[in-house]
Amino acid sequence: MSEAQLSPEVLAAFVDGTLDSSERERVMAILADSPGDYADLLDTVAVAAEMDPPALSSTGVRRRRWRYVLPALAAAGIAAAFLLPRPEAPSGVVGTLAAAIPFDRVSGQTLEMRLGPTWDQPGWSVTRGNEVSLPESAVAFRLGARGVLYEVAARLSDSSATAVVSAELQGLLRSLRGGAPVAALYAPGLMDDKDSRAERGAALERIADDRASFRLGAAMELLRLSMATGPSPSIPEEVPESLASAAATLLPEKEPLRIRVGELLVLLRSPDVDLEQVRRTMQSIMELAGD
Amino acid sequence: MDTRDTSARQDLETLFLSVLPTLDRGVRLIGRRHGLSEADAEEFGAWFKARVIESDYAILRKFGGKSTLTTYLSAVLVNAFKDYRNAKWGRWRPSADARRRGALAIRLEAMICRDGWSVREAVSVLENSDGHSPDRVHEMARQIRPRPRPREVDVSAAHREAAPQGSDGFWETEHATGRDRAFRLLTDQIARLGPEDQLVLRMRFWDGLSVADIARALGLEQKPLYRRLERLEGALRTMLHGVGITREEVRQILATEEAT
Repeated sequence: MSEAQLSPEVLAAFVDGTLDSSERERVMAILADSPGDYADLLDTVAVAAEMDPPALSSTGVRRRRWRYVLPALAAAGIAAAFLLPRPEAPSGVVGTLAAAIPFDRVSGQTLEMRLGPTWDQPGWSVTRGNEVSLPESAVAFRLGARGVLYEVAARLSDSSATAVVSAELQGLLRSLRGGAPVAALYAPGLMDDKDSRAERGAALERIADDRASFRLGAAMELLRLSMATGPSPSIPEEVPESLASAAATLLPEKEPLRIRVGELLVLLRSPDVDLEQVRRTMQSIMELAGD
Repeated sequence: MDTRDTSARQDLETLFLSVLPTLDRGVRLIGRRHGLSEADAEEFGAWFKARVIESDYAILRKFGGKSTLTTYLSAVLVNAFKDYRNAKWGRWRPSADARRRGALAIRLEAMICRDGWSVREAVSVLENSDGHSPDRVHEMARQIRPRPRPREVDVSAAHREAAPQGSDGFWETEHATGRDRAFRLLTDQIARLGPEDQLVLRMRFWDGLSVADIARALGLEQKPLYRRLERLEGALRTMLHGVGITREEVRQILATEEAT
């Protein structure tokens, strides 16, 4: 077989259709001329079509996957215990992450003034309808995200943003069994000092059964808000730390999500962060986790 | 190593652990495509993972987000498998005949000439993989010239026993039949087309990919591809008529390939 001229990176980009037209033409000419590269293309397309994680969401495949995922989960758990930063205390996730948003980079009194009109647009589906139909993990993810947003709005004393977010939190909480008392903590007119907010944050995390999804939602919200602070945003160190911590503890059936989070981590750690690619991966995570 | 480097390494470890099930799935798929036994596929998987770790996750570090991670890992695995195969069985090149006949012929030849499978075993593996129709695999296998299976010989007698290297003489000579002559002319005509048209035709008629698979592989829209294939096929028929290939020979070639 002739020596391959195309690197895995280029071949993968060709298969995914992300090359520009001149590069695509160059690759096409190589493929037509080089049996080795052509064979690699056929192999890559065939393997990628069956490896694609979202295709594994069907029940049958998911059942079989436990056999392979459990050892990996155990390994991930070990990694989490020894290698990764320890997760914050249960009551502190929302508060800690909300405090890390680089708001010194933007001015304005309200969230809308600081972040623009999309300040409250999360990236998950809003046409899904009633929260009652959401899986528990999606509710937990949304609670984590909205918990951070609420804390940020409250810290800025942005009453209109606080009202919008607390209404959404109440809707999510009421969809959970035993969630009504926690929903009551977000009723308008209650105390809004630091201790009250810490109490609410802790209650929010306790009510979310899927803690990993909750933490992931909180970390993703911190990233979303940080990315909205300008064209060259500064990403707080808390983002990758929290993402890594959440990824290591996600449930086995969340394999596609874990992979996307891992992908995001690598993108965020690369020396030249590709913001557009980060946004696309974020969107994919928001859809996978929040819907 | 500063804190950022340490964190980056931990992230790569996290990513590696996250993608392990995906990688295992990819290893099994490659094993199936290349007719590896379960034990050989496992060995390849272990070799690959050790290489990733020994290189300090360089493969993951190189991921730049230009594709999805899954596609990237697929391409990495395919590439790694070639290295593994070369390291284990030595570098091997398919014959010119196999290259002309396409990817299926290359794999068939590799399994028999390089890996020591019998024709029957190789056909059995390939007819159940990658959507190759049994008819197509059997048709390809029929074009193989029978040859003795490799056997151990005494070193002192090796110079007398040695078979020619490579796959020379593995395929029936192409001038043996009118169909082979047509085949050769057909490949010559295709080589005159633009790269994209060449690939479309090769995928469709040599490797038996569905139109949907071709569209996915080349990033083309599926619907216009049907019309394009019809147009290309028509042009080929005309070209082949022009060089004296009978309508029946053309029909035979294209119909056989199309049957897949």
